[in-house]
Amino acid sequence: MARAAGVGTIDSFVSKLEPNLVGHARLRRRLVEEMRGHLEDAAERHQARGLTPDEAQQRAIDDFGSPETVVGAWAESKGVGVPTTFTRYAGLAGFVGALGLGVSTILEQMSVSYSHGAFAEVSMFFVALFTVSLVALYMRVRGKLVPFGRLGPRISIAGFFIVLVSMRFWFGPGTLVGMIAIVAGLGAFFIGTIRSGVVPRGPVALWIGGLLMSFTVGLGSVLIDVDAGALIPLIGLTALMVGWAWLGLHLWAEKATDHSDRDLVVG
Amino acid sequence: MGSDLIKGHLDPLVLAVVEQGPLHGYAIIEELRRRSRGEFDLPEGTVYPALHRLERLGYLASRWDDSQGRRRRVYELTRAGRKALAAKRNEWKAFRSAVSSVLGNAGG
Repeated sequence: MARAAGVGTIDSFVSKLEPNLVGHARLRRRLVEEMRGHLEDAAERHQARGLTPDEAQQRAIDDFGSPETVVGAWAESKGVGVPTTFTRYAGLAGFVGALGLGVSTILEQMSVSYSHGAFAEVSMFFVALFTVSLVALYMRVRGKLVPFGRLGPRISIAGFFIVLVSMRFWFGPGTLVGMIAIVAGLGAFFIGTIRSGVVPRGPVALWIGGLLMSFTVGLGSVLIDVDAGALIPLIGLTALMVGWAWLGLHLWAEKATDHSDRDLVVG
Repeated sequence: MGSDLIKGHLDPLVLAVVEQGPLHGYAIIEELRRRSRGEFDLPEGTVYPALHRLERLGYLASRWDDSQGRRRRVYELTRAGRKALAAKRNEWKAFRSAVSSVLGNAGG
């Protein structure tokens, strides 16, 4: 196959694109091969007009658009990273879940009309709403997540299963490892979310801060028997809830575009 | 012309270019630029997602072509694509006419 001289530049450009494209591996390989052919055609054309091989390749790459632009356009065309009806309603569910869990926790702390069993059941319902909104957030930012941000949810899911298995068979250390994996995965995902720039940074930062506050105090009390009292976990939980509710409202407020694929023109 | 302005009309523009016969991505972009007399200046890499989307919608079909020394993906219009393009042309005519009626003729 004929190639433009000094293909290294095009190779390095393409290598930046490939890992960040969403979709099935076969489709990604096809797209990358098409793009590489395009860049080589363009470089050859520029070289024929008198540019040096390096200048020709650089010009071809400049005309092509930055990796971020191309990756973003690809993700958008796949319906990834765009607000949908699901992400909107899941955001609303997250908002309700955050408020519900917040109120429920206050009532439980005040020992008003709640038995511990009822609190756990109600909390589980709100946590389920939270999980739905977390999935929606992942769908919303997936196209623009850096690789470690995409890895985060997988680490958390693995941690969740470790916790489940450990609790079932009563392996104490396994539960701890699982909990650490859940928090580490969520942390990686949320740092990736902040860097994606898709959603406001404030609520995500509150979320991470709250999570770390609650978790480290909880972990400290288990590992080194430190009693930090109820205040720090309560502040952490409050930050987490506010961040979560804020994120939920943001997702709900976005305009859904999931029907655009049925139309010819995607704006 | 800004790429944001073109982006909203990219799909029918691509279909109109491919209407003349099978073309690969680079040739489609060159043709878009030629027909617009250089006005359509958008990042070339953003045309490929549009091509894949149009194929997914059934408006384009594609195949690999090795006949000219380099392997290229060639796109051609399907019957559904032809119908969609015709519908879009009618819609555009109506829109252009309505906008002209409101704005009036240039210099008029």
